[in-house]
Amino acid sequence: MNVISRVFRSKGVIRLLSIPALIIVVIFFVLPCIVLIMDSFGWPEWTLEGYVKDLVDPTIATVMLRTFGISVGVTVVALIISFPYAYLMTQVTARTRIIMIAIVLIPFWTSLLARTFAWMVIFQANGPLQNILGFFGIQTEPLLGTSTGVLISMVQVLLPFMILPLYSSLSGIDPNYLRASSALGANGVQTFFKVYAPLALGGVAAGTLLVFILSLGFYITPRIIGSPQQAMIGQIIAMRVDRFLDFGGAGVLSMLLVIAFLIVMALFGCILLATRLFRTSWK
Amino acid sequence: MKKSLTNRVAVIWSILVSILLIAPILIVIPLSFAPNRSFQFPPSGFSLQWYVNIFTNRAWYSSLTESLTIAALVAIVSTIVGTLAAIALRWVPRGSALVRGVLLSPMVMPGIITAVAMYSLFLQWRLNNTLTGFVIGHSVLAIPFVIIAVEANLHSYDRNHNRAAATLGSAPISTFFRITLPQILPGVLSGAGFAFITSFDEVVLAIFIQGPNVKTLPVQMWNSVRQETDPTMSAVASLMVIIATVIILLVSVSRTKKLSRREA
Repeated sequence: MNVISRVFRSKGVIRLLSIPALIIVVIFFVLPCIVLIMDSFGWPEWTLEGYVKDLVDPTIATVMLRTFGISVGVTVVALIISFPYAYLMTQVTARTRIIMIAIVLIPFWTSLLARTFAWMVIFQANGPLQNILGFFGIQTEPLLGTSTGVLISMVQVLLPFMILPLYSSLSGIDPNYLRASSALGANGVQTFFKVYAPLALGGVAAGTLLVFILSLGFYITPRIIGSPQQAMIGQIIAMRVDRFLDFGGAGVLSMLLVIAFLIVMALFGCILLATRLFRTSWK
Repeated sequence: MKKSLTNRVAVIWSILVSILLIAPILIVIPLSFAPNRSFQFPPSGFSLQWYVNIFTNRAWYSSLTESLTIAALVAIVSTIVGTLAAIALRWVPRGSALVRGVLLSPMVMPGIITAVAMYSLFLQWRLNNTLTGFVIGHSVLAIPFVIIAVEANLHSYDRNHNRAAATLGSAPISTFFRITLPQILPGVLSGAGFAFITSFDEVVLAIFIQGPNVKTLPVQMWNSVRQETDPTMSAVASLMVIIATVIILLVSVSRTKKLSRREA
């Protein structure tokens, strides 16, 4: 018994506890991803043909640009919309804060399909949006099937992913810093940009990154709200597999998406680093 | 709260944000009472036929029960393996960075890429259109959430409890069930809840690996949105909105009560 107990308590054995999870994730996630990458290189023969074909294809370039454009748009709009909300959450009483959190969590916990379906109804021809705008004398085309519609619905769907990390970062800011700043003669704008915003940077980065990653790979919302003529990259990846079982082609686009994303992240990191350096050298 | 100009602007702004968050999802509720086969808003009458349809229409009802079965199995599988992994990662942190990276990686990969990659191998392994395939695929997506939830609880767990139990002659397994598990139970349960919802709400992988034998509720919802005007979709969506709202409100009320107790 004693020996068995000692064996069970040893670090090596505790480490083994992660094996069942590892087996599932490696066999059913890592391996498929590796196979997809191999497919993208035309396995069993190794060729870059798929990559060359897609890189010179203007349609793919357009789709990539549109995907990044919409994702940047969604992220920026979501950040602008969320910041005052997250800020107010740090200012109100605990009771009001619980209500404000509930308002964020209700859509967060509601099925993505249910929410996307709601936007489909709102944007449809003769739908509520057109009726309301018509009531004010504004005649518009229905937003269903447009990139604007995709952008608006994606912002609403992804808003909780921006508000929650923002709030958790803003709630950690000591209000005494702001008081000190104004006591030392800074006006509101100066306090915001020189004291509050830098302290909020962590939450802004977390929320921005989360929303941006999720936007890039979004499939369901653009497929239902958007149109094939204005597709995002996820739709093209799905179409290649769905219609042509072209896993190589889907793998190529997946790799391009991930690589493009990594490049953007590297730039993002450089910009953050540069602002930090700039600020310290400025002091 | 200070009644500064900034705060006043923030209040008005936040009310607008609240409307943006809540109003769109409420729109499905009136729609679900439509008297005819349309998504017309506002509906031209009242009927409960679409709610009845969820339980009487074979396609809707069987997809609902399949989704519940799969989500329950996913919750069980991923909670067990995820909790074990979280313990390993937390208690033997040295050299575990790679293991953690691998285990959490399904969370950061865009859903469509994961779906396409799994679909490809599932085709060869004949796991598409099977319950096993769904449970495995969804477990992969759920394991990271379980690990994160359990690790958060293990963070505040004092391992001296294990040592005390061992000194008093408790075997490691019984120490786990009688000492450790009760203390990390909140994390384990919230992990299980996350896993259940992750599976129950999963669309992208599901629409690829589904087939005539296994169709989950999101697949049925997807088909009804894409292919036909079926207001049963509105009824299902409304139920989901209402269930989410009720659960969140119950949690909020209990937190408010806790608050009042602390103040008293």
